Amino acid sequence: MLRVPGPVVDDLDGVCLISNQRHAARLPPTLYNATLCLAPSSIPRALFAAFKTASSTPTNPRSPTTAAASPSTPRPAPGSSAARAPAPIPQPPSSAPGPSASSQLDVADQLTTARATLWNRRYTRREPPDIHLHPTHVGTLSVADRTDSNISVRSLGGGRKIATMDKRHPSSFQQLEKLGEGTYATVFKGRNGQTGAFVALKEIHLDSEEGTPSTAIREISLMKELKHENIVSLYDVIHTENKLMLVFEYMDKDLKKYMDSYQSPTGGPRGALDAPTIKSFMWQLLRGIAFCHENRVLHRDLKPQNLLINTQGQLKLADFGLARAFGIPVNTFSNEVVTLWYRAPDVLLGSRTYNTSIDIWSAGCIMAEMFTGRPLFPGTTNEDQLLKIFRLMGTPSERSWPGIASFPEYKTTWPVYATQELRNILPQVDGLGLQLLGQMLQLRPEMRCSAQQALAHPWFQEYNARAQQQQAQSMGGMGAGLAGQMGGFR
Amino acid sequence: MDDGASRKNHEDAAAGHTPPPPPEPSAAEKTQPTSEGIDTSPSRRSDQPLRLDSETWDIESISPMAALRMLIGALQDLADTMGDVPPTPPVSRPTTPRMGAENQPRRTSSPTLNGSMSIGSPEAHAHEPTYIEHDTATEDDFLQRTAIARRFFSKTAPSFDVRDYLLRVHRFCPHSSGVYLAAAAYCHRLCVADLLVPATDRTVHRLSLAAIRVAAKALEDNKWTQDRMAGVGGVSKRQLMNLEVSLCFLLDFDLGVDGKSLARRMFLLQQAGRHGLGAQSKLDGGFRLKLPLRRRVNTVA
Repeated sequence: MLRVPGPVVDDLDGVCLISNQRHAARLPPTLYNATLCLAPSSIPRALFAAFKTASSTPTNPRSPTTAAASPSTPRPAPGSSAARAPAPIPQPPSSAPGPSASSQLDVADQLTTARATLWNRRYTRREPPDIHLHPTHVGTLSVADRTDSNISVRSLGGGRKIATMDKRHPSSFQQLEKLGEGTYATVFKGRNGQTGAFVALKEIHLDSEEGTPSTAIREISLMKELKHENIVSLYDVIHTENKLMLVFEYMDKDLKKYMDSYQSPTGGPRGALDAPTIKSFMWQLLRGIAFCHENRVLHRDLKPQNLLINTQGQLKLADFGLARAFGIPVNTFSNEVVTLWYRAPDVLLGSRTYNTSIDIWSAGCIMAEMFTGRPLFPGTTNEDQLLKIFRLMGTPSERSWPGIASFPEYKTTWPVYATQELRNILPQVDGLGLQLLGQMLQLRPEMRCSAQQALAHPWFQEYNARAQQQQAQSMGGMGAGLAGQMGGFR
Repeated sequence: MDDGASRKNHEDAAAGHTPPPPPEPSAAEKTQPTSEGIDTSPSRRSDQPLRLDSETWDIESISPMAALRMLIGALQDLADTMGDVPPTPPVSRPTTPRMGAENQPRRTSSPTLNGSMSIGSPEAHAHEPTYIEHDTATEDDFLQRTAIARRFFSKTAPSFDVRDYLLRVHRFCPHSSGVYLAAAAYCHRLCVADLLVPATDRTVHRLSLAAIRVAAKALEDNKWTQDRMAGVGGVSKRQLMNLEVSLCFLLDFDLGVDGKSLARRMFLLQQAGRHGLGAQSKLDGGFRLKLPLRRRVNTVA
């Protein structure tokens, strides 16, 4: 088969074909050949490449001619081998040439389908079944309304192979029970047809009123970049006629459900977790946040429902529909971000110049919630939320927070509350934990610690020590490996 | 991810048991179409497009208008060099003829909008499959991508150039300089780096519209309604959605940008346009690497 030489294009691994050998095998061979012979549609590509060559190397105006000439190389016509194949059949020498030719045609006349034989009116009065052959994706992704236009992005691992995905059949998923429903998506549990592994299928309806939802655009593009053990993995994106299907790593529960179903071994209040679990979850949460911030991404909707937990006790950040990159000159930065209970005071005051510190505030709220089993600031409105915060943290003034009067939502009528000790409200938290919580729950955004600083806090000493140990080990391992190589060279 | 139950229960939020509904950053857009929080200090930034000679420059120094003019200039240069490159023929597969298939409209022509620019019918019809069945994985990606690229071709070149078109889009749906730079970055990847869609007079309109739209969705919190954007762009809402999805898939959803890559891609796009024109001017007058281009007439009354 002819291959047109084209320019080497890097970064081509993205959109994939829904290749389906099973289906190909079902087609009659001639049809199948015809399908394969579509490859010469790459001829315009050669032309296109020729234009590019010409425009970039003006000294060699002949190059387009040579490149463009290659598609004209004669190639065997489709099915020509099949046409030639019957020729060498030995003819019986005795038969006359005329009748022999007509008898061959007779054979062709008799060629018939199974359907014509089985439902011949001579033998049955039954109607032939109503069969429509659709050479499409039988067996891939058992969704009721598969259509002709399926495209899929694969190799989202950025060069890394994803173990649970089969390259050949990237989209054969069995859809199981519904896990949840959001404003713009429905999440199903799914099973990979090849490996049997569970996945989460997020189905996004495409509606021409809105076009491609920006939540989907953000979620896919950001999660493709953010590959980290504390961020849910996106395996694949499949496009059908009117929906996008996002294939995620499967996680058992979200943190909210985990807390609701948690039975404390020490008999604590309902919904509260025990201290070691909280420390582990906070460590993982802050690691995920730190990774986002390092990659210049704000999550902007951290809450227990968006933190997913698997059976191994791993915590991962999910739902990047509200996330956005920062550091680009754009017009609109909304202050309608983060679910109310976890919204930072500067955002509540109407700030549009917030930064990574808003994710840290949410993390602080989540930490307190894990200790008590109840949300720390369960406000009902923007105003109520602010007052709930002030009741605990004290009402800020121009003296405690210079510049607060310039916020759009600043009011002089706020009741003046005194600052309370966190210790009194959260007696179950140890001293170091309270210290860390105090650094995260700062009214002034610039006073809040960063995710990196939080990770370095003494409360996480055991985790930090372990991380350092692992680092030292891997460094040592690398050193040994290098030494081994050097030895090999010598 | 699966907090669906909570999203429904607005009222219960007050009870302190079920969490409140998630935020909606674009809530403002529904009440007021002109984006609030828009940068109202463009005066200190220059409207003059820059002619870049390095891939490091200050993207904060230019106004949205300047960024748009840079995008227009580069695309126009590329289109002038390229002439008309025909799209890949449709990927047709043997299918069983279906009853009633004739009733389906083969082409969905753009709506004729009063006093607006229509960029004509697309090459690809709305239900054209964007893939073929194939076994080997080597050429697959490319074939599939050329099939998707068909959606960006107009059947004939619109009668107005990309400058008039994008200035009109900017007049009715202004965007930030970040959006225009990101759109330029996407165009650079498709037209120059990855050679997926040639920038010609038949493609640049659809391409730039889709790039600006996807960039706005990826970068901005408030965005123009689909209806308005489609109307201003002279395509139907459904076509605009198809263009968005096609662009996302052609770019492999690598839509994330940062200041450095924006600066670099804009420089490279300008450079590609300049190289093209430079190469063309060195050739003989009679040697034209252009296919004749059919222009659509009678579009704007």
